Amino acid sequence: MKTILGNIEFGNIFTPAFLFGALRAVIILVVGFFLVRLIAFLVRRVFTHNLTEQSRMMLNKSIIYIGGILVVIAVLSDLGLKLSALLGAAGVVGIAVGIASQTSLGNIISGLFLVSEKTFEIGDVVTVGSKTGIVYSIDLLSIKLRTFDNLLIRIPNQTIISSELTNITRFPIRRMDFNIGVAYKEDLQRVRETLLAIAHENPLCLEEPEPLLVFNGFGNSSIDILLGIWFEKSNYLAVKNSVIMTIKERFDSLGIEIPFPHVTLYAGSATEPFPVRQVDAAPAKKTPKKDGAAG
Amino acid sequence: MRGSGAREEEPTTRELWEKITSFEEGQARLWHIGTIRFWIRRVTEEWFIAFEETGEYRAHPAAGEEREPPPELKWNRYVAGKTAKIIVHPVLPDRPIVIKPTSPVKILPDRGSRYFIHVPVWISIMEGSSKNPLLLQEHPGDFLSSTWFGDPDDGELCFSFTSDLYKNPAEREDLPLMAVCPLNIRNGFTSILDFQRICVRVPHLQLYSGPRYLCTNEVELIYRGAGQQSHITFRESAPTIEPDLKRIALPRIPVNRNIIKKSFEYIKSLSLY
Repeated sequence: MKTILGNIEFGNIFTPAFLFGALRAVIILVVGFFLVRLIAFLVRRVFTHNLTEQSRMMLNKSIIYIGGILVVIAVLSDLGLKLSALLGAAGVVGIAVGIASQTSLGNIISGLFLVSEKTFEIGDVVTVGSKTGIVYSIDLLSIKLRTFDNLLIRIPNQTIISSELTNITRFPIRRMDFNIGVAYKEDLQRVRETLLAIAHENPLCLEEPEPLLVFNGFGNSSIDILLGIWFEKSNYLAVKNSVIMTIKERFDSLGIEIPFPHVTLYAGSATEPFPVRQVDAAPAKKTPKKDGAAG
Repeated sequence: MRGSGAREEEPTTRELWEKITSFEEGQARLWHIGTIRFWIRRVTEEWFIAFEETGEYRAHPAAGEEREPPPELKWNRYVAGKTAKIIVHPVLPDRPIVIKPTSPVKILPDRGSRYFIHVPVWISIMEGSSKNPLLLQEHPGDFLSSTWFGDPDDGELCFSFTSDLYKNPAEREDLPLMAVCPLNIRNGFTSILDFQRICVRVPHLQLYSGPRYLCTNEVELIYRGAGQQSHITFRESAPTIEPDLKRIALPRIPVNRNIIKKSFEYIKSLSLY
C-alpha cells in the first residue's frame, strides 16, 4: 500500500487544469440543480392553476427527476467521461436491475394507469380493502393514506390496480342510511311521518334529493325500516350523530318502541337455566317455622 | 302584515339600514329586525356581538337602541381598531336560492311573464365608515334549509325557499329581511315550460334600497328545453319597482351580464335504492 501511494505523485493529479475542471463541475452541479428547482417552482406557480393537486405533484416530480438526470449528464460530460460507454453500461445494468425489480416496475406502470384513470386524487377519502383514509401522497411506487387516527399506510400501486377501491368523497353529496327497527304494535304511518319530519327539521340534511324511507321487512323482533338522508359530504359525523340522537329522543317522547333482541345465556348443557328473580315485587310474607327452632 | 297606518311610526327601509351607529366605551346596543335580535357592545377597542333567534316577529324594528344585554348571551369577540362606529347592512346570501313556487307555473312556448319573488337577506355587521367598512360578521336573517340543484355529481349546493311568484311586489307584506327580486321568465322552447323549482343565483345580484323595499336588479331567464342550460341576463340598472332606489351592495361574485346555467328543474326522485 505504502509502495503504491509512494508511486503516485499528487502534484501530477491536482494540476491547476484538474482543479479548474473540478470546480467547474461543482458549479454546473450546484447551478444546474438550482435552475431545475427554479423551473419547477415557476411552472408550479404560473402554469398549474387549472391542474389538480395530484397532477401538480406529478409535474413537479417529473421536472425535478428529468432535470436532475440532465444536470448529472452535463457534469459527467464536462469532466470528459465518454457518455456513450457510460450509457451502454447503464443499459446493461438497466436490464439486470429491471429483471431484479419486476415488482417495482409493475408498481411504476400501475401508478401511471392510476394517475391517468383519475379515480382519486390527493385529499380524497378512499377505502382499499379494509383500510380507509385520506390520500396523502401519490408516489412512483405507492400511494400513502393517512388514516383518521393519524397513521400512515403505504399501499403499492399494483395492489390498488388489482383490488376494489371506493372513493368516498368523489361526489359533493352523499346518502347516509340508518337502519331502524320499531315494534310490531306501532302505527307505521306515524313512524314514517316522524322519521321524515326528523330529516326535514335537521339543518344538515338536504331537502333535495328527498330523504328515502323504505320498510325493509318483518324482522325477528321488529319491523325494519331504512331511512336514507342526503347530506353534504363534509357533514358526515355531524349528520350521523344528530340524526341518531334525534330519532332516539323523538321515539322516546312519542312512546315509539325500538325493540332489541333478548339473549338468555346458559352456562352449559348440563346446567340449569339462570334463575330469574323479580326484585321489585312486594316482599313475600314470612312463614312461621313449624317446630319453633328458638326453643 | 304591516298596515299603512303603522308605516308613519316605523323607520323606512332606508332609515333602518343606512345608519351609522356610534358607540361609547362599554356601551351596548340592541337591534331587533324581524325575528332576529342582536346586541353589539364596545369594550376597549373590541367588539362583542351576540345574535339571538326570538321566534317572534317585531313589527317595529329596533335599530341600535341602547339596552343592557341579558347575561346568558354567547358573544363573538373581535379585536378592532379605534373606530367606534358600526354599520348594519343587508346582504344577499352567499349561495344560490332554489325557489319552490307554492303553485307550479306553466308557460306556453314563446311566451313569458314578469314575476316578483322574495329573497331572504342576511344581516352584515361592519366596522368603520361607509367608505371603508370592515366586515365583522354576517348572520342569516331567517333559517334556510340546504338543497341540491342539478345532478348528484355536478350540481350545486343551494338554499331552499318557498315563495309565491307575485305579479306585483305589493301583493306580499314588505318584511324587513326580504328583498324583492324581479324575474322575467321566457319560454324559448317549443314545448310548455312546467317547472317546480327555479334557481336564482343571488351571489351575482346587486342589492338596492328604496323608501319601502329592499330589491335586487332584474333577472331575465330564457328556458331552452328540459335538461338544457338556461340563458340568464342580469340587468345592470336598478329595477323599476319604486323610485329613488340606491345601490347598497355589489354582487358577491361578479359575473358578465349574461351567463348560461341550468335554472329550471322538476323534482326528481333519486330513491332508486
